[in-house]
Amino acid sequence: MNMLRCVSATLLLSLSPPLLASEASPTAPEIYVSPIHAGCYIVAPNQCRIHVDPFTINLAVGKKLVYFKLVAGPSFGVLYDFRPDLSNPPPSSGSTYTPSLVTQDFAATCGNSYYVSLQGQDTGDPNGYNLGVTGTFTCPSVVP
Amino acid sequence: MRYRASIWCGTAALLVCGIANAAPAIYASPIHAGCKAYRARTCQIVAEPFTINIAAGKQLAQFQIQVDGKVVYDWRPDASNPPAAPSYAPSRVALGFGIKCSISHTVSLVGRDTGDSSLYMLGSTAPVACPAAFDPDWIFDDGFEP
Repeated sequence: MNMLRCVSATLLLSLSPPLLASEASPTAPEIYVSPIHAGCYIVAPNQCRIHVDPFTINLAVGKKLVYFKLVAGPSFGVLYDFRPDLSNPPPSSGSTYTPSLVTQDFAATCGNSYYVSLQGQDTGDPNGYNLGVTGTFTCPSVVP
Repeated sequence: MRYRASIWCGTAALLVCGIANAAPAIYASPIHAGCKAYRARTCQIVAEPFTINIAAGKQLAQFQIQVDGKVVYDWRPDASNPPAAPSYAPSRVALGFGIKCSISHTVSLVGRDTGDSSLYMLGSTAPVACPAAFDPDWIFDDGFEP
């Protein structure tokens, strides 16, 4: 499990140069996030879904959300790509934004293993950043 | 897999529980679940919301919902910031957990926190009877649903 996590983390880092840049840079990203937790469940034979628990994106004071993405690794790709209103990006007040859950969860391939990362950017950041990543979970392959 | 201490503490093994030297650090609220028809040949288990209680100073490492001992939901926390004590209440999944119709199933919650070396049984239902499949032949078929 630890090895899987290391592999996942390595893959994620390799896919996300901004994170490496942020760690090496004297200017830390202004956006940060509450932890992201997720899992995979089977709905019917050969139909699985990834479920992400609610999360809150914390932005620097006075900054606005530019985008966030939920990405399933190591090779699945983007689960959800979110863009706010161009003229009135959130938050309208305060410095947090809590997206609503998607209603049907995210389709996934049964039997495969995934991790989910949350990536995002606020108006104070030059690039997107990895804001959190789950451990690796496995979608069930059969219905009991 | 071992059973959480409070399960057998709550039965007749209070004395044994009291002297156990490696009791699991994680424990949970009860799990309640039911079964419903989903499609003509598929049924689903629906679990009520539950809260996992985490031992002081520990963090939630993993939980699974199992049906008849088989995993139907595999959950992992944020690798850097897993939920800390005292508790975590996972959000409900949007749909139910797919299972075969026409038979009874037992639903279990298993999990571990950073103080546990392995998964523990945190709660389990009595057998839940699922409705009959519309096509009874399907219960002998693990293949695709048309």
